[in-house]
Amino acid sequence: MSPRRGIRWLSAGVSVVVLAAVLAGLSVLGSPMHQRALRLDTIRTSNLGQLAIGISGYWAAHKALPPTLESIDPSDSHHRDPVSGQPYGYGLVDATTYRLCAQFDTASEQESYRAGAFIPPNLGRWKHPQGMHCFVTDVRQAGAGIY
Amino acid sequence: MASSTQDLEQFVRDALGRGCSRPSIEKALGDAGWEPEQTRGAMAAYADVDFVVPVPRPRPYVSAREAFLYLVLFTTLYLTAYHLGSLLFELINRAFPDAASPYNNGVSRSIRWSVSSVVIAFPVFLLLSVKIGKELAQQPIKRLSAVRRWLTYLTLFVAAVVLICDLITLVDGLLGGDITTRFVLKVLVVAAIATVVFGYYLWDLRRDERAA
Repeated sequence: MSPRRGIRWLSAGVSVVVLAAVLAGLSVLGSPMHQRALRLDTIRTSNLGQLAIGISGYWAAHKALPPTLESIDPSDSHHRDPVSGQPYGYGLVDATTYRLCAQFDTASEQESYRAGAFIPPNLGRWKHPQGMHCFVTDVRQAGAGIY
Repeated sequence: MASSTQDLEQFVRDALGRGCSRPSIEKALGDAGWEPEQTRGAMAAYADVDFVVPVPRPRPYVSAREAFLYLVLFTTLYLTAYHLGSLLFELINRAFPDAASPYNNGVSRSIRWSVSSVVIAFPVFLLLSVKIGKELAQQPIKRLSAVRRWLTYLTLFVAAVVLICDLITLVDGLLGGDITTRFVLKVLVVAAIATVVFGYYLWDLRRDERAA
């Protein structure tokens, strides 16, 4: 085989491999909108995680659940949805169980790490489908305030 | 590719100037103890043209433009090779999740960056390879450029080291009983990429040396 034809075959082969890998990678990633939705949802679950810490801190101090989210942290920095600005849903189920709700853009993925998220590694606690979803937590549960 | 010393070339120049025939010069040098490659290199410095004074052949010179082209070529090669490997690793992680390392099962941030790198670096690499190939076809003397040779040998060095480390990883895995499909596939990916790069550029260098 002449050198030029050999090189042609080699570059064709390598290009095919590269193209296949890129397409597989793109199919895993989904569309850019999907990636953005995942990131926004991460911010939401991160906010809810911080609220859970605040609620546990309130419980430790007062032995009762806070009546509203403002009681935990008047500064309000992570009480609202990052996109819509709506406050997160908060309600009491009973004396020791509370409910935190948010509107999610997409279902959570089996992803254990996303760069920049505050979420520490507690897999499964914040799994959610698309749309409005509430997390019901008993504040006495070990780890309820940690993450 | 042998190097000729100043003395050797001076001698050849003087001998040709006095009208000695090429075979006789080569024989004299061989008798003096010079290696055939060195002799050939010195003889090749002067063209086989009938003239009063020996006519020097054109030599490649170090050019900044060439350095730029080859640096970009090999940089995009390294980027493509590394990120192709990284992308394939993440896809393998996804296909064969390992319960023992839950944080290593296909990180989409890494996939995103690797896909982006390959999409940009690989076409640039191909274009530059074609461009350089055309220039070499028109002026084969450029094959002897020092920049080209040094960067190619550097690439061979990197590929060889990668291959060696890959084999070490394989033996280490074997000894540790760590042989899963995931592990074997990753070893194969690294071996394939390193071997293709090494093989192609070694062949390219051999072509240069034959053309010299």
